[in-house]
Amino acid sequence: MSGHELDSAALGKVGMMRQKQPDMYVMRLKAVAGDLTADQLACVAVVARKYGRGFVHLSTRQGIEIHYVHKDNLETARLELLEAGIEMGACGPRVRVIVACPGDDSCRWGNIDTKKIARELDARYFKQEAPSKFKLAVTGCSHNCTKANENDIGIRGAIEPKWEASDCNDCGLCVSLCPLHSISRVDSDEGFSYEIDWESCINCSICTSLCPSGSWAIGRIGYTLFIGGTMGKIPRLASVLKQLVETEEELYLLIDKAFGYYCANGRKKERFGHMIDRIGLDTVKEAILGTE
Amino acid sequence: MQGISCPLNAMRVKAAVSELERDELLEILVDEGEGVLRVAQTLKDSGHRIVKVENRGHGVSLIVGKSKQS
Repeated sequence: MSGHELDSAALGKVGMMRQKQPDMYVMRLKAVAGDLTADQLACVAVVARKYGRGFVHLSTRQGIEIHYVHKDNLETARLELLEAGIEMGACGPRVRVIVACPGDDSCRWGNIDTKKIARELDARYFKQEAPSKFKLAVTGCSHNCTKANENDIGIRGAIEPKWEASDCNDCGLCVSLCPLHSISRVDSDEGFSYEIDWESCINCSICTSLCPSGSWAIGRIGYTLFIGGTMGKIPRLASVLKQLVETEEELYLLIDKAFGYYCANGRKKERFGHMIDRIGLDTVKEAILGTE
Repeated sequence: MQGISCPLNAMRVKAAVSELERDELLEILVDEGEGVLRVAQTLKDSGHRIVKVENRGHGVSLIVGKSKQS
């Protein structure tokens, strides 16, 4: 690469950002869902020692950055990382690395296979050009560890609980556990029952995970799909596009439509959420959901 | 167990429940929110029983018993 005038926009596309120090660059590495193998980490350590200053910076989006890489070493360092299967991340107005929590693989609360979805989203959208930066996050449940609603597209695992009378020992734990106080005990001529106020239920899995008798079962399971979240200079929490998307197929279809709508209607440098505020949430939702 | 932070509250409850005789019950008072959640989680993981839960306004009362298997 040496000998050429370095084009910072082109470098941004492959995850290399110019530092304020002359000729020094940050290498932003790609770790889908924040996962790297131990061998990959060892390779990162070697590259950081060899071409950087022997340290890495952990980004807020589960990424690793190697700082202080001289421009002449960027390509060599990139190839060494690639040999360990580590690709570069993304900068600039395009789809960034997909972030995700561990999901149902290892978390008690996880409702969905977050990593599988993150990998699928990565295959479909990573580095695609957009009017501005575009961030996607997958979080397994309403604890929202990956902050789905701070992303342009957020996917949150969601369950709709269902009470089954048969095994219930009427202990009442669910009433005390529900974080939104959405569960109440109801007495009637047929006996007691436990009911949910669907208006306030946030589709978390606390009642279904902790019910001692297993009487709170999963009725429906799926994804809450958020659009238009962003932090940065003008923060905006995402809006719910659909509360419970039940299939992966429908999920990808809706994301496709949402991303397509943004690419067609977003102004240069305008984030998805700010475009939604300019056009109107109802109009945007109708355009995306309308022909579902 | 009120005012005792997690996970100490849950550990103490677990220890107390394992001391019980098979049919003996114990009433414990825990903090609302995170307190009751953590205790319920530990009891479920240990296979112990929760017989009755009542919100007392100033805390949550749990009547608990030993696992039927142990």
